[in-house]
Amino acid sequence: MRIVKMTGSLLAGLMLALQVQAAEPMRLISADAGATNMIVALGLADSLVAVDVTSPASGDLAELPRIGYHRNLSAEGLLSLSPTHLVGTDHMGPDTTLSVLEGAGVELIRLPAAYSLPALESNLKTMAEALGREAQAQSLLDRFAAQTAELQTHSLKGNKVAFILSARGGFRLAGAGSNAGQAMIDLLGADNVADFENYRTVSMESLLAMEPDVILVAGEMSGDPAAALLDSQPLLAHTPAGKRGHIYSVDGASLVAGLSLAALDEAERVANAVGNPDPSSH
Amino acid sequence: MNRLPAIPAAAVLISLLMVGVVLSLTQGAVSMPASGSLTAIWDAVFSSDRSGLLSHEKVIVLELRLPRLLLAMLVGAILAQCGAVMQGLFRNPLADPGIIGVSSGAAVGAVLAIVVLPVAWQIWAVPTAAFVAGLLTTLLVYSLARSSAGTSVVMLLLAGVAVAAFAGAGIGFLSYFTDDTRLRELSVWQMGSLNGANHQLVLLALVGFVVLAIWFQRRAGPLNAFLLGESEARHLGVPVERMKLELIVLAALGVGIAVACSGIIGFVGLVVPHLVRLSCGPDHRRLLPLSALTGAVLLMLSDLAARTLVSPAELPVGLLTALLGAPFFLILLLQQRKQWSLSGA
Repeated sequence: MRIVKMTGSLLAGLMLALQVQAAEPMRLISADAGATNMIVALGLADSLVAVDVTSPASGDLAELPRIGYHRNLSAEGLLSLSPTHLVGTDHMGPDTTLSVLEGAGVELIRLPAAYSLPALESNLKTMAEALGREAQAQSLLDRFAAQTAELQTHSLKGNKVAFILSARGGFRLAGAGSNAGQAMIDLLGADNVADFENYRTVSMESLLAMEPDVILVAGEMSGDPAAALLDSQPLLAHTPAGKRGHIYSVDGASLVAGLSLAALDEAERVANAVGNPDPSSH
Repeated sequence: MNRLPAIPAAAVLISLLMVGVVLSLTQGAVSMPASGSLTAIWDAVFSSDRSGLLSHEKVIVLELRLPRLLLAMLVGAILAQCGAVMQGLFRNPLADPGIIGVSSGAAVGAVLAIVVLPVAWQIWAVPTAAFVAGLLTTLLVYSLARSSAGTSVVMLLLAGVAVAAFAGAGIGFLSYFTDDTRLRELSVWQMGSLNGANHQLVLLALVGFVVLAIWFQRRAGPLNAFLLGESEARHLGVPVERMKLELIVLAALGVGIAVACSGIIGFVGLVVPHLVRLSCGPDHRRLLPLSALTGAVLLMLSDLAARTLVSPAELPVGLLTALLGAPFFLILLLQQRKQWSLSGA
């Protein structure tokens, strides 16, 4: 370890010298879907050189190399992309990889998982500051405020929401506490049907007994998880949510490590849909 | 039986090991001149400066590739030797360190550490807990199987199965009640990886390997006697009970060290000794060192593939040990079957 740090600081000095000479453009690696989302929103999509497996593989990002899973990052793999910054959550690891990267002069931006709007805001500010994009962040924050206001007018206050993570062998339901499902329900201003902590698997019978007014199904949007779930579990139609057609898909990639900017859009979409149910859809 | 003589087999393995070492040092996500990577090692040993590599390239060779390569070799050798000893001791071809509860115990320890202890402690708490729990489970299984009449191998195996089932339920229970962050931590750990290799772990594995290799080698004679059966071994003057306890504790120690270094890496302990036994015969004096060599080669090549195939990402190394090793094993078994049918005809 000591040798890593020593060679690392030598190296950092060297890199600094190089940067002063050439003012290299930023080369960003994102290790989390939420971080990728933020980088793109800050107008830095062109500076991204690689993203992790949870980041969306569409549009401009489709061509980028994938660095795998953020808990098992490969130091050499990342260094081969000669990044200037590694952005992700505080779950990134293993520590050996991170200390080698840090020693090689890569700036680490580690954001705690955000389970509330203020936490998401502070993450956005931290990232914008580290990447020198305060102006763009300000306009995002303004949009933020507008969306929050919009959500408050469409608040689902008094509604009981069930957030289903997956439906294989029972329903994996989000409980209370620090998890993305609960954070989403909080965004909507609604109540969670579940009274336990963390994610737990519940049976169809318990779900029926909970009488959810709205059911959210996380998954990949291309597969329309809500429709698929209703197909495979027709009994769901007997819940209050099923009777009123309030079963909605939520993009799982927007909730990988807590809330992301995309999660706000998702919340807005759901809130609007509950307000004006479209009879043609579920 | 056309068995390979031990010396040429060892020569082949050592040359494979050398090729593997050179490939592991020169290949990786960052492309560098191969000669430079090798001279960097020379430079580090003799503090010269001939490699012509930039200083950050030297870090990649000396701090990333070298420790990882060494750890892969050492862990592979330890696992394969422990597997060979377990199979010899229990005269059971399906015995691997898992069967006496080491692996399941170690897994419970690690899972407990991940779920219960604060995240900041995990770097050292997970390997320590894995190690201690593995050893305790092994001793529990051993004491269950012990009676005034001696240790029953059948009891040992059955107790191992029961304890493993219990441990599995415990892991399931803990993962049911934990939050999803720690759950993801768990699944990464259970797949095993050499990604966290550093100097301390290499040193731990090196000490473990040297001690175990010498100790096991000195017990090769008694292990050969065990192959005849326990009472036969006793009549040959082997202190059967003491030998069993000693070897079980040593194997638990070895697996504990391996788990602490790299998480759970399957397949090496089970199949490598079989590979060697099928091709070079069951004499432990040869089986043990050849297993160590084969284990080292298999895990090193698997790790090389794990970190280069999908770069810049990485595959779990446990997947690749099975992927590379299983076909070899099947080919050997098929050859074996041909010979049986010939001798039967």
